Amino acid sequence: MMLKLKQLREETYAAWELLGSSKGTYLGAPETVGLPPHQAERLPWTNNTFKDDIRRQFGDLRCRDTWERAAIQLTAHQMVQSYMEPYEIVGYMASATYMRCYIRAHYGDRLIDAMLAFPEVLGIIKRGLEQLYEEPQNPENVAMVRSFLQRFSGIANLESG
Amino acid sequence: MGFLEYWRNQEMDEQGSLLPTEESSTIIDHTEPSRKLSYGQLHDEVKERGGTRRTHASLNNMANEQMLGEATSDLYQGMNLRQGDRGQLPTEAKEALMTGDIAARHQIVTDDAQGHYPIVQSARKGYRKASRLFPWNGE
Repeated sequence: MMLKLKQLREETYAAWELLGSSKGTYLGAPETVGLPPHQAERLPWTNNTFKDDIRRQFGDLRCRDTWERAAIQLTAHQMVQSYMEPYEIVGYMASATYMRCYIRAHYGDRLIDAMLAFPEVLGIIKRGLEQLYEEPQNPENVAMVRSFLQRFSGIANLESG
Repeated sequence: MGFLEYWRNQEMDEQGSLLPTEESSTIIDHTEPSRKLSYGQLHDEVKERGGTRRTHASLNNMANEQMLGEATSDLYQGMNLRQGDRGQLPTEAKEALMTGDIAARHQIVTDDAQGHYPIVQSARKGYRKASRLFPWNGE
């Protein structure tokens, strides 16, 4: 089932806002984390700073394709720049169910390609795999490493690097 | 004032002594409270309560902002760390993050928060309460 345009727009907004927030850039609106939900949920439609930026980077806001590209690219970018634990980023790449995410579930390969286009992601993956190996007693971690290495056999030599 | 200003005002000796030493190769007790355990418990709780990718990412961002008083990328740049180097933050910064993650988890459970918005609102409340314990978060 295709994602609704509304979902694409909301995911795009969430990634765009977090990217800006972590860099301390101007967002044109208060952060959604501090707003009542009914106000926060309107921002993807009302925040002109957001809309202008998406139009500039990805094109016509009336096209579904614009929102698909924006959601994939910004989710990938935000994930790479999330400063989360590296093992979580590996888990997110390895499995569509590790973290609930519409974009990961619907656009897995495109999203992962977009993440791999960021040069710093390889260092994060390497660190994440190290973390997962440091706790080999945890079967979930072992399964995660296996599924990751199977899927990304092309970069499996990171394991020994 | 945020963590970076506080950190820069410390004597160099003290900064050095606060840096984490190399991880020991002895057997690690994974139930012993630690920053990683607290972080993992918080994020497991978030997942169980219907949190999504943005919930996890928001909480992580919030932890840096609220507990250390710095935008996340300023913090890492200021400490000369790259993405993925969170294990190399100074001990005091890691303690604050750990305290915040524990407070956020308890607030989420106390409020029985379910779903993205209730979770981030409870977490924010928890982080805010915990942030007051640390001197760099003063006026």
